[in-house]
Amino acid sequence: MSQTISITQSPEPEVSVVVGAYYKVFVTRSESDENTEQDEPTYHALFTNRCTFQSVLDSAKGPSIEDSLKFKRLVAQWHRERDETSSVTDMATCPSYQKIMAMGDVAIPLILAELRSEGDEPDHWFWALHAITDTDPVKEEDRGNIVKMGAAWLKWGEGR
Amino acid sequence: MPGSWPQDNFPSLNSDNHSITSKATRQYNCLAWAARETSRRWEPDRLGIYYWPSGVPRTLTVDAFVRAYGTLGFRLCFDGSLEPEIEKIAIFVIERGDSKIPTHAALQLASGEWTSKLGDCEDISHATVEAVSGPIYGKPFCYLSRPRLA
Repeated sequence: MSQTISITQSPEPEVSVVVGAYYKVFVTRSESDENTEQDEPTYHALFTNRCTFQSVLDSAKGPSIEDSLKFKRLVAQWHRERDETSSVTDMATCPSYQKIMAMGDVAIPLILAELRSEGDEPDHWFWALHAITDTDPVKEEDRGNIVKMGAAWLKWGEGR
Repeated sequence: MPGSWPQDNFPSLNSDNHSITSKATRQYNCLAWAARETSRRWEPDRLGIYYWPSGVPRTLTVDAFVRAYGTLGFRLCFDGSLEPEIEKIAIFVIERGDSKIPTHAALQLASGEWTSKLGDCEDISHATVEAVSGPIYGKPFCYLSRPRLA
């Protein structure tokens, strides 16, 4: 069972907890309507009692609102920049894609969320994932099969 | 109905010289399509993320492309003319200074038409190989051939 602590005991600045919790609450709630009841206490505790649960504190390590907005803006820019090239190398050298990679670790959950939302037509995120994490969970025989590549990265993300 | 590609990228395509033959997808690209593969992308990416034939350099060079299709039995030939029982691939390049950067591959159909996958958009059949020439793909640079498979 998660330990309940007061936010005033946290060594982290209060604002960082709230920003991370915002991400946790709104992303979780929008992705799964059936969890609304379960999420309600966390939401209530966060915004009324100003105390929180360990899970919320953990999620404070995730991307900030600013990071999320920056990522969305860069993705839109990347879609505009890339032409109908067949070369992933060309797509990955677009300035906006380079900026996404420069975001580093903080971009990983955002990229994985994007990947998840794209289903059987994952976009070309594999280059960025590989470059940022310096790993590749894709089996050799699945290289090029973007559906299997996407599934491998999502599974990797769950294990982080 | 026009395809989903930016029309400016393919100025030679018009309603009379091509037809759309698939829906848009990212699951394969032009290089895979020319190799008759639709379940994986062929990419000579240096990170080794995507499929590229084993033993072929992962470089954006005409030589690497020729060697990649060579693993399927294709060999350099003189031109893209239609020959009975022969299957041909055209490799497109764009010129940057003295370099020729391969950009695209198109496959010749038995009818003499050509077929291309346009980036992440649809694949099409086109009356002439030059129909997909333009600012993105450049123009055909060399041709490969092999006996047409049954």
